[in-house]
Amino acid sequence: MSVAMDASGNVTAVSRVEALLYMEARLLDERRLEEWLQLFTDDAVYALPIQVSDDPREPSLIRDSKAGMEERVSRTEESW
Amino acid sequence: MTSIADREGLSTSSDRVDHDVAALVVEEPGRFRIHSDIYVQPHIFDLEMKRIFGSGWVFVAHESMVPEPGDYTTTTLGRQPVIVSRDDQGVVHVLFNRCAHRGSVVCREERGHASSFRCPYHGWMYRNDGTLIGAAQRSGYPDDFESWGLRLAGAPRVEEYRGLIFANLDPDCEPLMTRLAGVKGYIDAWADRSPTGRVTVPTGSHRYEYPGNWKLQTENGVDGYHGNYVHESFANILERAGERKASEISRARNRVGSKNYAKGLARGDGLLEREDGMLGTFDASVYPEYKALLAERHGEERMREATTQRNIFIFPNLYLFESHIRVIRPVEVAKTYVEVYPTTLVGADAEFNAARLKEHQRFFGPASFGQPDDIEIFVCAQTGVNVEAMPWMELSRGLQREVLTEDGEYVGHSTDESPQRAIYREWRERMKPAGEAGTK
Repeated sequence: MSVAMDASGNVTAVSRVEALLYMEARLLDERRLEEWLQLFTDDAVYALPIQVSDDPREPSLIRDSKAGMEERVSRTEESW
Repeated sequence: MTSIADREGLSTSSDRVDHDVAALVVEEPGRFRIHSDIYVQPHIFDLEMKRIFGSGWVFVAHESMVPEPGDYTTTTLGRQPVIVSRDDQGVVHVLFNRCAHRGSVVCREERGHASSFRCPYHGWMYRNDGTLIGAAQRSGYPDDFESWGLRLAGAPRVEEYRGLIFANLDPDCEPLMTRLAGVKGYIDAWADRSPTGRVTVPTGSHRYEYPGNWKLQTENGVDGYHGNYVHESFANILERAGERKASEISRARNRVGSKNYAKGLARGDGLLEREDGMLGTFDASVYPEYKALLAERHGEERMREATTQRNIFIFPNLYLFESHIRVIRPVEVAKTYVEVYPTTLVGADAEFNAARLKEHQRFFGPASFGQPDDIEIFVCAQTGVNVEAMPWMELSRGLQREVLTEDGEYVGHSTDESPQRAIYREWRERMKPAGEAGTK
């Protein structure tokens, strides 16, 4: 992965965002879901909308709060 | 009984098929069985499409999908594609989505607004009431072309109750309200969950497809027996969240003497009814302001009736759940589409509706902790019913303890198979050859 730098040789915000997304993808690929959860703040919303719409009446495939994300990880990781 | 599969290669005259169909539902004292052929045999599916979905009242759309003149939505009546269209005068039509010329569908969208439909093949144009506006390059047809009567044909009868639009292909059929007489009170209670008595559905739906027979979904929504097994993980989710103890949920489902019932109604309708809520998916008592608003609008007694949790099945293809309208669309003998439309209660505040939607998506959404487990079970069942050495399904649970009321309802324990028996009594009646069946 190349690193984008600005004129002063600093790593740019774009690069840091890229690095974060790569890290997230790696954690998901390696199924390190507890670590993946730690990437998110407590007010996170993890959403997979059906329609591109902000209408709160529209259903989503997923619209999880942080608690909902934790619920999803525990359901996936534990054998129930 | 010899299975139809055993006779492959023999004549399947319509007489023979009719005889077989009547024998596929066997009701004896204390015992109720159905034959696996009804899930796997393509010719039985063909008969269902003709006698159940091609005749009798079938749900097509909710009024909020076509609120304004010119609005339309597309769906199917059995396998037949239709357009539910509100014409410029505001009249709702259920038009076959089939060009009179060479058979192409004339509308390829799921929902929209149009004063006319243009066939994509050769450009024939139809008004949204089905009238043929004209054939492209008209001069290729003779002078009397307009007298041929070409148009988008449609269901001769379209009627609506509490926003639910039904179609019937039989022009001489009974009125919708006669058909719904036994289930009307439950539809009213469902609609009165809204402070205004009205609900709307969103633009998007939760849609799923499963490789199994449509009747697996019809049976499942009123099945109060499977929860402790198929949905065990959801009970554990609730326990983890500190909302309910899994052991309490399990006990509540098993308890005898609670106000939880499974009911089989006339005409194949039925319901699962739990006065104490749905064990975690949605509990009106958590929202006292909502209950107070309902009591103010409808009265205390009506509020209690409306907030009782029910899964209501209306034969052959409609479910009314607390949170949603569910439509079952048979595609092939072992392929089914299900459309789930979460409802918004008109007149309840936005925050409350958002909470309902959230609870809905936690159990019924495609990436939720409930519905996907049911779909997995449909696949398990569709696989198992191919075993020819064990052709019978047992739907006998609770037959010895259910009660037949004066209203003609079979009322059983919430885990009893009273609603499923109602489905198959109606199924047997409707699958009889024309002339033998009762009123449609």
